[in-house]
Amino acid sequence: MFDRFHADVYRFLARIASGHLDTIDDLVQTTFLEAYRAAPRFGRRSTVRTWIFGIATNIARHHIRNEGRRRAAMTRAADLPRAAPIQPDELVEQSDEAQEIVRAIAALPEPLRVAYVMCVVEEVPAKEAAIALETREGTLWRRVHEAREALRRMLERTGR
Amino acid sequence: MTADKIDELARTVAPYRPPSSRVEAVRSNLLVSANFIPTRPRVMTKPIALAASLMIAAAALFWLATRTESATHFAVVRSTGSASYAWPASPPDERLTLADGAVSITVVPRAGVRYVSKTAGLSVDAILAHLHETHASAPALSGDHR
Repeated sequence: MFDRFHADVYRFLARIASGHLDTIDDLVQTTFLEAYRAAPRFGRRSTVRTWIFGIATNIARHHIRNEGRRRAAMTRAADLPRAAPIQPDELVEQSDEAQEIVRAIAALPEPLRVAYVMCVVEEVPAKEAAIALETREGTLWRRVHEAREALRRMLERTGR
Repeated sequence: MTADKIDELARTVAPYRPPSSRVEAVRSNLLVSANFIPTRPRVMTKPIALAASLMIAAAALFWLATRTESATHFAVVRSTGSASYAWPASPPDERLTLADGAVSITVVPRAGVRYVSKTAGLSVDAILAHLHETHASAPALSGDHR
């Protein structure tokens, strides 16, 4: 399963947790461990790839939430250094235009970002994505629409 | 920029591409970690459940069979020992208590016959003969002494 889907999961998590790239390996690893643990409960209501994306979304959500609390606590306690960041050569070199859109996606509110990345960027059918994210299809489409509008506004502000 | 252009651009860019060394490290960690996750493969669950159901059904049948058998047997318990007798016909439908001095015999349908002798003044054969005379469906006097 890891050999088949790790590239997809790395890419997906990097997009929805782009502010937390220093722990992307941990997120990927936790996602596959959870998938391994939950495999007997896989209901075949979506493809395996979409199902793993759903797990990755939950893992990323928990991580971002906990990391926010932890950093807030650490900032209050002491000015401690952060974990070793990803090296610059591991970040993909991109044009200015691409960097803008990466930043814009990262700036989206989490529900809009997840919906946009899963449905538009990863091209997961909305019906499957709704099952994986445990939400309604209509809600997902609304989030995708709002994400597109927000991205367009952000890019317009930067002169694109 | 149009929405289509934004979507197209978003699909082509990724903020991070892991080097193979990091992927391999995660892969190794997963292989080690997976050994510590207790799992019960679904394929094994059904045979185990089936075996457990069969065992429960067998136990229930055994219990029913012994209960049925106990209704066709009765025990005579004395202070010097006990004996069990087969009841060839249908056992009495009602609780039957025979009293003879210090000796009493209680016939309990579906649960066998219980006889308690406090003085052991009456022989087992005498009790059976008494039972045979007073109850039409009482067993023959040949018993399986234990």
